[in-house]
Amino acid sequence: MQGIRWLSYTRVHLIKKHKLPPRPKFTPSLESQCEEKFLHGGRGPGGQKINKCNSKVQLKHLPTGIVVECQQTRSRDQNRKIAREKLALEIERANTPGQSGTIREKALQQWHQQSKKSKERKAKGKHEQHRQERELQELEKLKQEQDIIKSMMGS
Amino acid sequence: MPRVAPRLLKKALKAHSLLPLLLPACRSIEQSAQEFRWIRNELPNMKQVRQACLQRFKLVPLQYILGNQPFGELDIVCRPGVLIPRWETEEWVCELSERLLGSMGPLNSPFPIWDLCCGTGCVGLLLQRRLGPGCSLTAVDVTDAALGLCVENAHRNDLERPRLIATDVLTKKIVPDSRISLLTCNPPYIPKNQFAADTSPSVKRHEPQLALIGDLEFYSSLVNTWIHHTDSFVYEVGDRRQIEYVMHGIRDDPRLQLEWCVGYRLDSSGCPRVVYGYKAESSLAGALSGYGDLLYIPPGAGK
Ligand SMILES: C[S@@+](CC[C@H](N)C(=O)[O-])C[C@H]1O[C@@H](n2cnc3c(N)ncnc32)[C@H](O)[C@@H]1O
Repeated sequence: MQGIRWLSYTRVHLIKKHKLPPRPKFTPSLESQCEEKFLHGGRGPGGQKINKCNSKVQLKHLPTGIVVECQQTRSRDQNRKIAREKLALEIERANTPGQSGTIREKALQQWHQQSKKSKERKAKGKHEQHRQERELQELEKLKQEQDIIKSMMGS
Repeated sequence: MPRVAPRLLKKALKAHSLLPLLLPACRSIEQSAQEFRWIRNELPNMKQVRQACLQRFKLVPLQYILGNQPFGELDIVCRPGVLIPRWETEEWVCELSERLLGSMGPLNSPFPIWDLCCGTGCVGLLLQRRLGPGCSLTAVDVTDAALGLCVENAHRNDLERPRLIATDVLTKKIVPDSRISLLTCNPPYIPKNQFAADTSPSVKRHEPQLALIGDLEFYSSLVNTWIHHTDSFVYEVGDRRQIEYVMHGIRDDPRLQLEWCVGYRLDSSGCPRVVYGYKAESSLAGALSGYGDLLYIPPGAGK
């Protein structure tokens, strides 16, 4: 009966954390469909005359017109990577019917609810404690992901 | 101190009591908030965060306060007395390394790189990281502070210690012991008469003038001396005039005009940023021809 639990008379397939649909990937073929811009605010002289610590990366997916930006870190290299993750996520979202997130996000939500229920149910053995710690870490990751999404909506 | 509108100050104060301190350096609320997040993330306690904001209010560069600046995948230690790497420099170095790698692959034959006016070492060290152990780096600067930081940065990024030469690159005294494959240089290029008017207050007040003020002398030493020891060069510039100076120096020289291709590059803000050249016959020609736009090709050389 692994992976199956009886919930109010309905048989439900449990979401396994390690079997979640993967995070959308930014593939080399996506790279070739993108236009990248670096925005440093204003024209001005630049070079040695000024020292700007921000570097905003803007990535546009030409076929869909989706645009993402990132200036989260001080590293242009990092910002470029994050922008690519964001874009992959956005493209996946656009490709997912309905508006409540990607397949992965839905699965994560479901997993979240399911583990909350099971937490209420189960006793706290040592084994359980371990599991919960792991779960907390996963939740943390989930939260981070949601933060990324939020900050994307914000900026 | 640049003036900040009272309306902005009030708005910043609402967000956090320290945020107004960042406004003179950052100019906008968004930018200040961004910087504040970085400061908070990187400093261990509120006391230090406060100190940092107070320094920032005096326009001390953020990189001197936090002690580093990312440069490509390198983490470059920054300290007062040595110029902070600029994004424009990072941009042309990244692009250059990608081109070199793309056309030559990881190096297996020796590839001597000399980085003149090395400062923190960012240019040479990023090339070394990307091109791999095949390249050997010689870093030249006139100040010991720069050379010391350059070694520290090699160490911090797990790179082989470059050979250091403490000298004035404008004298003709150094003769490289072997042929240089790639000569890079980001020389001081702000003309003295523009320094007061065009340079930002933070730079003027806190970065070393020796690293900033200069003009054609470095490009002149390139076309008169350094070019004879290398197969290719990439020099950062501050304006178009400096590019043209190098181009003319090569085109008008009876020997150089037969061998050298010269081109330039704009940065992503559209400003002239690099003058570069290579011997048409050299193995680097394939990698470098498309690096920017060519201004001069020797007679008889195919593209
Ligand atoms: C614009 S900074 C470049 C630093 C570093 N390469 C970078 O891109 O961030 C110029 C450097 O040249 C050095 N310098 C200035 N005049 C020099 C000279 N005549 N000979 C050698 N180095 C010199 C300064 O000490 C400074 O480190």
